[in-house]
Parts: sequence; structure tokens; C-alpha cells
Amino acid sequence: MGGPAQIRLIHTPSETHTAKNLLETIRHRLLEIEAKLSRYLPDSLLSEINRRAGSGIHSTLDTETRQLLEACRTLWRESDGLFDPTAGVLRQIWDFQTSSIGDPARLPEVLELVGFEGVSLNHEGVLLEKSGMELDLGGIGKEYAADVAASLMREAGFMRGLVDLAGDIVVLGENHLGKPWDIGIRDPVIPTQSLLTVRLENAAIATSGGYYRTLRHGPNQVSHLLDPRTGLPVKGPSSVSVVASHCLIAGAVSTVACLQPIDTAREWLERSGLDWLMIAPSGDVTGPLLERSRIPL
Amino acid sequence: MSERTKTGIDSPLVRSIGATLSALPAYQSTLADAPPAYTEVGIRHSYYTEDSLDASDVIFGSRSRYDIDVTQLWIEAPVGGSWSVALDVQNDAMSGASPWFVGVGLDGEPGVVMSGASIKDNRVEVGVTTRYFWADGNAGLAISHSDEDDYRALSFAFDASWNSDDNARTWTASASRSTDTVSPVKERIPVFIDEESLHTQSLYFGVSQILSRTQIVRIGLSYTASEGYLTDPYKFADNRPEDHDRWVLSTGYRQFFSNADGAVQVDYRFYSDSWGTDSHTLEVGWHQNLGRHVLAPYLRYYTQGEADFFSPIADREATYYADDYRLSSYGAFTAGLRWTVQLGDWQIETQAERYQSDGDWGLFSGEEAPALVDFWRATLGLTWRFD
Repeated sequence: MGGPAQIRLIHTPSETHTAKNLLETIRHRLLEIEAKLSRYLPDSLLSEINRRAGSGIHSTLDTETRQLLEACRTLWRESDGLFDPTAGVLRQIWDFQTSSIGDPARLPEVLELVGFEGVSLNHEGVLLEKSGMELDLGGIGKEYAADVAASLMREAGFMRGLVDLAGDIVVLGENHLGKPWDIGIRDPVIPTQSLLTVRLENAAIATSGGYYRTLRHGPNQVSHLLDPRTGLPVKGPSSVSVVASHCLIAGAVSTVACLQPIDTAREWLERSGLDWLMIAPSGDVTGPLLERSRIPL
Repeated sequence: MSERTKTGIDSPLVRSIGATLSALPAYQSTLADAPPAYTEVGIRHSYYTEDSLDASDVIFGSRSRYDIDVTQLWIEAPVGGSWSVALDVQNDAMSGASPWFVGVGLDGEPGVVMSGASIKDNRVEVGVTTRYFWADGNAGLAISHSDEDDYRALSFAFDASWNSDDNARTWTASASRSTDTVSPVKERIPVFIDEESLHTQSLYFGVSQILSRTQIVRIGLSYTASEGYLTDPYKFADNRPEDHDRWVLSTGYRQFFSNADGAVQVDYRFYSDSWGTDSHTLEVGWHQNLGRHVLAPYLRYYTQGEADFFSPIADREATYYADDYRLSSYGAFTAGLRWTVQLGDWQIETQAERYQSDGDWGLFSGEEAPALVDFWRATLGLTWRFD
């Protein structure tokens, strides 16, 4: 899934064998999800969908993929198009992996391929209506995988543990000391350090931010967060962290918040009814999550 | 103690997302109280046919009994982020004969005198339910009206459910009231009333508890009180008290087995009323997932004791009396199979069941009525979801 992953299970000595088996089950399940939803794997379902773009041929969907795409459609509508899994084609203009910028004159042409209204999702399956369109579920894939891992842990009767998939985190119960889990929120200015720590129990937290990947354009540092409606990098919060019952919801809300100016991001977060933390480019930290946070020593 | 994590359930935004995800196992305990994410339209048709009586049980009249065709239409849709509305319409087309009274046959044994020529009747029921969802629960208000040649009913019902902080426990309560008017048709057989009414109130309280991700148990208690005209006007020998109180204790258990991709279901119900009837119902079923299909066989056992004023041949000198087989002592078995298949936005459901009763199969002592019913029922349904 493109990043470090850790899963911690708190168990009794007699449960060691069961815990090891469960970890193996979770590993297989996460690999299954990746094999299906990764656009980097040529044999994945997602890659098949992308290859068929513009062909008129629907790809048959299993229940899991269908529901995830339905959730994407709901998020796309609720966010007025800010959350858009078809926006990945914009890397033809802004390539953050190679830190290069393509021909800006092609932006209108590439923008024609962006827009979830071009995704046909019905009883036959899914079809990308225009040739060149692509689906990229990177915006929810890891978060969904974290939720699945946590769900498997609960089903197996393990009520205390932690799932951390490259910063998309679900905590179950209390930690090994019988206390809430301390989760660090990365400092956008010094990403190797935590700015503050949030105490969580039976919750998920996801953080989005422009500091993860940037490229230099003249004197400016450009964030990897692009507005799908304009194709241009956004100037929004440096980082938004959201706490919810499930990681997919936390991740989606935090991602959309980061794609907006600070004022409208705040309105969006308040609309979600969830606890959140926003770090502005100025360094200001705001949000209800501050009350459950502390500065690490 | 850590703060309770906000689920955002008060937020139409989060509820909307959660409702879309609710079909996935990883999310099924979270946002159970969101309004439906889709509009659902359905139609269901059931055919019910009672076995003919044995010739030895009939003194006079047709051996054929009732056939009933039931057609149901419903639509349920979300309204805004916190409400849903449902409309239900049901039509019952009934034809056939039913026992008029029990007399003594030439062989000295009780036998049934049937109601004569085949009766045809049609009932239409229309109901509207509106439901409100909030952070920890939901509440619904329902109104329904039922109309047929000889019976009208107007009902109101209110129900509400609340979830615990960890969503593992749900409490449910409901109350209802119905006013019914009986105005029997006089062409069929002699009847002795013009129009009578009865009123029914009912209360229910229950709780369900998730024991683990694969186990859920529930228990409920209901009380129903009816007062008014409770006698069957189409029975010659029938005079029942004007009050009828009923208590029902119901329990259920469900467990999912991931290796088998199936679930077991066990339900038990105890009933007791002020007419002296007690009954037990035990149902065991299995739900087997097979890709898009679900196959669910079930077996149900029912046994009841007779009402205080029941006798196979009614004692018309008593204050209250009835020879209606439905008030007698008997046991019954039902075996059924339900099959459901999901095809994209469409769901097809079929069900067939066989019911057989016998006085010797009951756990309670009492005299057997000669007209116990056996029947077949088959159902076909189609549901369409869209947004």
C-alpha cells in the first residue's frame, strides 16, 4: 500500500497462537484488497476498469468494490466535486513522484477526463465513459483497509489493538497500559516530529496535508493536493486530522477539508459533526480535537 | 475514561456516507440508525391455500376451505438527511368456506357444518409510516386503514429505538391503538348483529444485545388489550368475553459462522391470555450465503392449550362458548424454505411453506377440534433500489 504498516494486538499468553493466525489472516486480506484496488498492479480490477475506459464495456463488480464506488459517488456529491477519484489523470500535468510539471497548455484537455459524472455505475457494473479516464482509489483505499483490519480483529474477539497503515490509524480499546492510545500528529514543518499527541480509544484518525508531497515551481512549493474542478494546486490548511468511528470516514472528511481555503474547510469540518484538528500554513492550530491533545515533551 | 468518539451521526453528511457503506461487513455496526441510502420499491404476492377437510369431519357443506391471494406493494424513501417515509398497500382476495359450527355427526363424533357457498371477499389496507433518525436511535409513526365488506379498522402506532454508547445494545418500545368496526354481511349465513366495534391497545418493550461480531440475542415483552365485540359473527355457536388481554414473551438468537458463510437463527415465543390459552412457538432456521443467493430453510413448532370456554361442540348454556378450532388445543409444524437473490439493484425473493396441525401433537391437554387447518403458502417478491 505504498507505506509502512503496523498492527498491534493486545492479547493474553494463551491467545498467542490465535493472534498470530489472525495477523496472517489480516495480512492476506489486505493484500487481497490491494490486489483488487491498486492502480499500480496491472492485474488489478481497478487497472482493468481503467483499460476499458471509453470502450463501452462495463466491468463486473463484486459487492465490496461496488459499495466503495457508491461511497465515492456520495462523497463526490456531498463535497461538490472536491473528492473525485477520477482526478488522478492530473498527474500528467503535476507529477509529484518525479517532481516535474508537464505542459500547462494541456490542462483543459486533461480536465475533460476528470469528473465522477463520467463514471457509469449500474447493475451491469462500472464503466469510465471517456477514453483516457482513470479511477484512483488512493483517497480511500488505505483507510478502507484499516477499517477491514480492525473489523477482523473485533470479529476474532480482540478488543484492544492498533492498526496503522502509513498514518491511517484505527485503535481498539485501550493500550497495553490500560490507557487510551497516544497518537502523534505530525508537524507539517518538521514532518519527522510530532506537533502534538491525541488520546484515543475505539476510534479512527486520518490526517491529510499538503506537506506530504510537494514540488517546486519557480520560487514556490506546490502541494500535491489538486482541486479536481480546476486542476490547480490548492492553498488550504497545511494539515487536517479528523477522528471518527471508522478510518474511511475520517480520511474522506480530512481530504476534502484540505482541498479548500481555511474558512470553507472549517465549515466543512463543522458540518461533519466529527472532532478535527487543523494546522494552518501560519502554524495556528485549531479544532475541537485540541481539548484531547497534549504537546509531547 | 476517554471521551466517547463522535460518530457524526447527527450529520447528514456522515450518515449519507455511512448508509452507502452499511452493506460492507466492516461498517455494519456503526451507522445503523441512518435513513435508508436508497429509495426502495417492492411488490410481493402470496398464495395461501388450506387443505380440504376429510369427508369424515364434515357433516354438511363444502369440504373446500379458504384460498387467499395477498398482494403487497411498498415504497420507502429517504427524505432529507434525517427522515424516511414509507407507503404500504396490501390487497387480500379471499374465497372459500369456513366452519359455521360443530355438531354431532351420524357416527356420534363431532363434525363440521360449513358456511355454505363459497364466500368471496376483498380487503384493502393502506399504511403510511414516517421515521426520524437521530444520533442514537430512531422513531416512527404509522397510520393504517383497512377496509373490506364487513370490517373496517383504523390503527395508529408509535415505535422508537435507542442504541447504547457502544452500539452493542438496542432498546425498543412501541405503542399502538386500533379501532375496528364489524358489520357482517347477512346474505351468506344468518348473523345476529348489525354493527359492533372493538378497540385494541398494545405495548411492546424489547432489548437486543450484540454479544460479539457474530452473535446477537434479543428479548421482548408485549401486552395487548382488546375490548368490545370479540365474538366471531359468522360462527353459529360463538359467544366470547368482551375483554381479551394477551401477553407475549419473545426471544431470539442469531449466530454467524464465517467458515460456513452462514448463520443459525433460533426464536422462541411464549403467549398467555385472559381466555386461558397459553402457547409456545419454537423456530429454528439456517441462512446460507451462496454468492448472490441466500437460502434459508426453517422449521417451526407451535403448541397451544384451549381457551377456558372452548369445547368441540359448544355448550350454549354457558355464559361464554366457542367451537372455533383456533381456540382449541393442538400442535402444529411448519417447514419452509426462503430463497433470495441479489441482481444489482434488484432483489428476488421466493418462499414456500407447509403447515400441518394435529390435536395429538400438542403439549397441552384438551379436546381436539374436528376442523384443524393444514395449508400451503407460496410467496414471490421483487424489490428495486435506486437513488
